[in-house]
Parts: sequence; structure tokens; C-alpha cells
Amino acid sequence: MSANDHDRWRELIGLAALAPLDPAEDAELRAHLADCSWCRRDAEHLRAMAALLPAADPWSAAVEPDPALRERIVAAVGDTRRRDTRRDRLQRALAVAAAAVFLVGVGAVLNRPAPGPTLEEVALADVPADVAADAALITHTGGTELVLTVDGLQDGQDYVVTFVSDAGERVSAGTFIGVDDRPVVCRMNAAVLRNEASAFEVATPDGRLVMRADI
Amino acid sequence: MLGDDAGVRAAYDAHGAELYRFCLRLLGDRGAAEDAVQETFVRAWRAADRYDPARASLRTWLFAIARNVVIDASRVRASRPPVAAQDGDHEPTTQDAVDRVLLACGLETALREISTDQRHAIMEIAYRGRTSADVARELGTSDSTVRSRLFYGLKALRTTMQQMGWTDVG
Repeated sequence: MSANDHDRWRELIGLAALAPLDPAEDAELRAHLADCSWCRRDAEHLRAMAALLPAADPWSAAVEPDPALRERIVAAVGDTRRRDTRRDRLQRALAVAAAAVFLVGVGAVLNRPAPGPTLEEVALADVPADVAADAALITHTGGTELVLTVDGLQDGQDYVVTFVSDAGERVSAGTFIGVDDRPVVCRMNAAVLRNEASAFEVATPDGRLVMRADI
Repeated sequence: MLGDDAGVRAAYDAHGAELYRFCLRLLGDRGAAEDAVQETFVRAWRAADRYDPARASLRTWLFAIARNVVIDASRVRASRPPVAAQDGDHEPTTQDAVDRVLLACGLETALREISTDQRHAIMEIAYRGRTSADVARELGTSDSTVRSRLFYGLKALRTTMQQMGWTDVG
């Protein structure tokens, strides 16, 4: 069979996939397909492809999105990336803090028969949208310890932690400095008994409240 | 792939407009379609560690995510009581409807990518129902040339569809 013959079969196969051939051409093609597995395979492929064509509306206009969408998406993915990274870092820092408390507990158990400290998780309120934070309390005989893990605070900014007692007395638990490239884990102690403490606040020295918890 | 802003821009430049047309056709609202494309990219970034380029093209993967985003969005809209006349009655988009539109968008994109001569032959004969001889006369060429363009056009369309991730094109 010559190359010209195959050109002829291809012309018939392409057309047959989309429209009925005239009877003579149809008989000619059928006879060839019975003998030629290559052309038979082409005919099957093209018929399957042609069968899908009615699903499309080829005259539909290629509507373009608003040009601003591109940068809106870049910004949205960037925000998600930063938020997720911050949350992952916070979870890692919390795991480290929990392990440290566990080790303190193990040490306490090994050194003396008293039970080790337990973490009391507390829910934070008023946390700014771009800050991720987690807090837990440890009850001590002579006061209350706050384990605060916080990510996304303003770099270099001083923060003041204050406990509030049931009687409304404000008791300082100390200060720390914010960093913005990694989570800060602060362990702050206040001279207020756990069963007499009702809240704590984190604020800037000029009194701007950053987050708080009712405990 | 979507690891930084440049990766997101490259993926958007390659597939954003097509994703938008897919979402727009199903949601029927430009704002909702833009939100759906944005959500698609955010979900894609979150799932990027599960993307295996050896198993699926980026296009296939993004469209699989967009398909779920559109189904979720249409469920939310269908569950919301209509508050304005233009809200109309929203039936939740079925997976079949989504897949039909997915196929239509794929075909329309593939038709845009094959050569102009081949596309013209397919459009006139498959969609307008003209004969190859009629098209040849109009173009001042031979019937055999038009038929040959049909053969190679359908082949090119099939290859393009396969490259876009369609496996059931014969």
C-alpha cells in the first residue's frame, strides 16, 4: 500500500467520524478497515472524539476574568500561607512547651512524692485577627503561672501581663517583648492564688488591650 | 509549584481564565465565579504536598479542586432562601451537570488550540452540518484538502484533550 493510499483512507476516516459517507465511499472504507488494524484504530479514536463534540458550544465567547483577579488570588494564597505557617509554628511551640511542662512534672515526681503540675487550658478572647495565641495555667502553692504562646505580635513592642483577682485587684505577672518572625513562649507568674484569680489581660504599656481571658 | 507568589502567578496565567469560564458557566455570576477561582487556588495551595505531577497535570488537578468548590458553592446557594428576585431558584449543581460543563470547557479550550484551518473544517462540518465539498468550494481548495484537515484536526483535538487529562477520548 502506498502513502497516497493512506492519504485517501485518512480523508475518508476523518469525514466518516462526523458525517455519513456516500455509499460507494462507505463500502470502500469498510472493506479497508476490515484489513487494516492501523486505520481501524484511527477510525475508532476519531469516532470517539467526534462523539464528544456536541457537548461544546464552539461559538461561546472566551470570557476573560477581571484583570485584578490574578493579584487578588496571589494575595489570598499569600495570606493563607502566612496564616498556616504561623499556626504550624504555634503548634510546634505548644508541643515544646507541653513537653517542657511534662519534663518538669517528671522531675517533680522523681524528686519528691508530690504530683507534677498540670496544664489548665484557657480560652483567649479579643485576639487580633493576625495573631495566633494559646494559653494555659499552672496552679502553684504560692501563685498562678501563665504559659502563653503567641505568634504575630508587633516586633519590639513591650507587653504587660496582668491578672485580676475575684476582688478586682490587679496583679502584675510581668512583661515580655514581641517578635514577629517566630512564636514567643512566655512563662509568667503572678502572686494571686489560682482559686482567687478571675481573669488575665495582655496589654501594651499604654493600656491598649491585646487579648484577655476569663479564667 | 504554588510555593511562592511567582508559582501562583504562573499557574493562574496558564489556567486561571479557563477555570473562571468553567466556574462562571456553572454559577452564572461573575463575582461568584471569581470567588470560586480564588478558593480553588487557596485549596490547591493547602493541598500542594499531596499533588503528584506524575499522576495528573496541574490543569487536571486544579479542575478537580474547582469541581468540588463549585459543587460546594452551589449547595450553599441552594440552601439559602432567595432574598431578591435575581436570586431565582437555585438547584444544587449536580455532579453530572458539573462534568458536562467540564467537558464543554475542555473541548472549547482544545478547539481554540488546534490550527485555524483544522478548526474551521471541524466547525463547518461538525457544527454547521455543511459538506466537505461545499467548504472546499468556499475556500477555493480541494475537497481532499478539507477532508484531510478534518482527519488531522480531530487527531489534534484528541491529543490536546488527552494532554488536558481526558482519558476517555478514544
